[in-house]
Amino acid sequence: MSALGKSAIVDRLTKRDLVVAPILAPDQIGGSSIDLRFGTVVLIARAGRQSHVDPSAYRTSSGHGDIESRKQKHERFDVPFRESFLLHPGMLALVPTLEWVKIPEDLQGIVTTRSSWAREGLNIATATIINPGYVGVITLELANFGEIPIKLHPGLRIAQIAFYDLRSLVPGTGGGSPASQFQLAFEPEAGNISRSDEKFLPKV
Amino acid sequence: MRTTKDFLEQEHRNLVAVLEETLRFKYGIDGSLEFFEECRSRLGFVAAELARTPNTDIDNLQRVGGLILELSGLLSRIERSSVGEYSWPFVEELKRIAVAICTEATLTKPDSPPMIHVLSDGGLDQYQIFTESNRPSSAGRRILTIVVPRTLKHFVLLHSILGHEIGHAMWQCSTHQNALKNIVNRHLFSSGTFANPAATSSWLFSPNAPAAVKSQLAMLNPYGINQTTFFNWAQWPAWIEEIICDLIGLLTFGPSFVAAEANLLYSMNPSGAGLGQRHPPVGCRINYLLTGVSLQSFDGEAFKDANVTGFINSFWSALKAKKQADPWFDVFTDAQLKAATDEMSTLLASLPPARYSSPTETDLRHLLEQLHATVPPTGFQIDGTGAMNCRPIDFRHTLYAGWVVGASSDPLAFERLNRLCQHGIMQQRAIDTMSS
Repeated sequence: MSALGKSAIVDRLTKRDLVVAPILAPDQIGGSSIDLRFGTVVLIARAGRQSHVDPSAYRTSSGHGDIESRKQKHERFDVPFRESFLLHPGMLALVPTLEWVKIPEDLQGIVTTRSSWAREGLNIATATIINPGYVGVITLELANFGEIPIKLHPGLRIAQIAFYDLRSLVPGTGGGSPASQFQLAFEPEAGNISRSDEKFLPKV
Repeated sequence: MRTTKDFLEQEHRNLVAVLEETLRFKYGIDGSLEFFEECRSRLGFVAAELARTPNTDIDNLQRVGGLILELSGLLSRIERSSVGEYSWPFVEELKRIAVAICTEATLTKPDSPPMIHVLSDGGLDQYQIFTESNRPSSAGRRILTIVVPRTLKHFVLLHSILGHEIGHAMWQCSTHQNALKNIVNRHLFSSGTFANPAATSSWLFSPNAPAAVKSQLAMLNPYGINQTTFFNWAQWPAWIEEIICDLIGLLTFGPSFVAAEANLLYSMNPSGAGLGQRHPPVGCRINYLLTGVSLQSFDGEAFKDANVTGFINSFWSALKAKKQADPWFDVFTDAQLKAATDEMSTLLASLPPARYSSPTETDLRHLLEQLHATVPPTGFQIDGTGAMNCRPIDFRHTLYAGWVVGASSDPLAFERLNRLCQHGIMQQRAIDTMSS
């Protein structure tokens, strides 16, 4: 598995099998990665709505209680350009990238925090791997590991994505991964943490 | 026993409290300051009026009561006006057109832009722009309330129908009403089917009217509504205003307006015969819009690229298939429509960015390619050499591209297409912000 350098990234973007759009400034493409910007939606778990995270609550159900629980779990904010959002210490926020991303079947994306923001305490907590074939915005799980709130504005570069060529890992193959539950996402949403694992949950 | 004045003073205090409560919500992309200050100034005016009005001055108490009712209606909408309740990227673009069209002279400024408030409410038939007809004398600016259906939050392709509602705002705006009246009275309403109420009634009740229209009119007959009394029931000025607003929609939003209007109106009235007290039959509205499209050459772009031409032709064929074949629905001659739309177009051109102009082939091809590749359409592009550039794109061209792709794709993908276009309009704002 080899990383793509700048010229290889530009080459794949030019061929349009890899899409990261829009790229607003030439220096957004670094030596081996593309900077990603903060999008315009923020999803925050509402403290006090739930006693704990329970995988059983994600079992497929269309009853009032289950829908209410899922819908009220997060608070959603639209944050237009030139407005701001404060990420408090200890807070977890789901935010989309401004960029729309399409990963071809032979590449994998790895998302990390830009080091300048990481030094301020901003961290992209999880889900750093973007699978081959993924299409949509990338959801960043932002956490503030510092001790003071961080003010974020849509459009700021907060993350970066690097690409790895999977063909060198398994020659002649790549991709073919099952569709992600977040495929074609336009904004962050809660995941289903028990998807395909229902047999391990207590019977109802 | 409480007097009328006591009661109004209590309601005034209630409104002051409610206005403060509205600051719990984030309404409007630029924050709540302007709206809050305007409402507070009006409440101050109401308080002063109440203070100087004796209990015996029934007329003034009634007038002040009316102002209080209007304000309470306005404030009660705030909870449905949060930025997250509607497509703010689309609304921000729409506001630029509304401000260009509805800026007018007020007591405080010779060129006061309207204050625009957005409300998310109801379903398919809720697209509206309310324009204040009466303002308290203290009002600095006219408040326009744009209503977008809650159910259609992300359906920006259908939002193009707000071009018609922009027309109502323009018609009621003191700056342009006379000019518009002059144009339409000379070209559309001085001869023919819409020369006067009697001529229109005669056309409606003519023996060659479609069966569906006759059957609708027959249902009104038991209520005493016939050819002679029809416009005692229906409102002639409202019919005229609807026609003018349709043409303003055509000229401000172009093809996407016609596609949105045809789809929405036929979804509520598939036969095209539907008429109401405030609007003429749906079929004749679609017919004059489709004729207007050709007269303004919105469908006549000469493209070199065969693929682009193919997609465009498919779109226009599908849309023109919605034209009513029965000539009864053609209420204006081509010459009438051409003269009226040309002059209205010139008027709108003086109010940039109000007038729609067709996209270049390069832009349209680029937008179509992105949509076909499931990428939000914007002005960002990487050329064959790897060079990147970002250029401005008119959001109406994004909507046009969306409708063109929609004509050739699975109808079930319509929601995704809307989301892609909405996302593209949002991303284009980032591009424009970066280059500003």
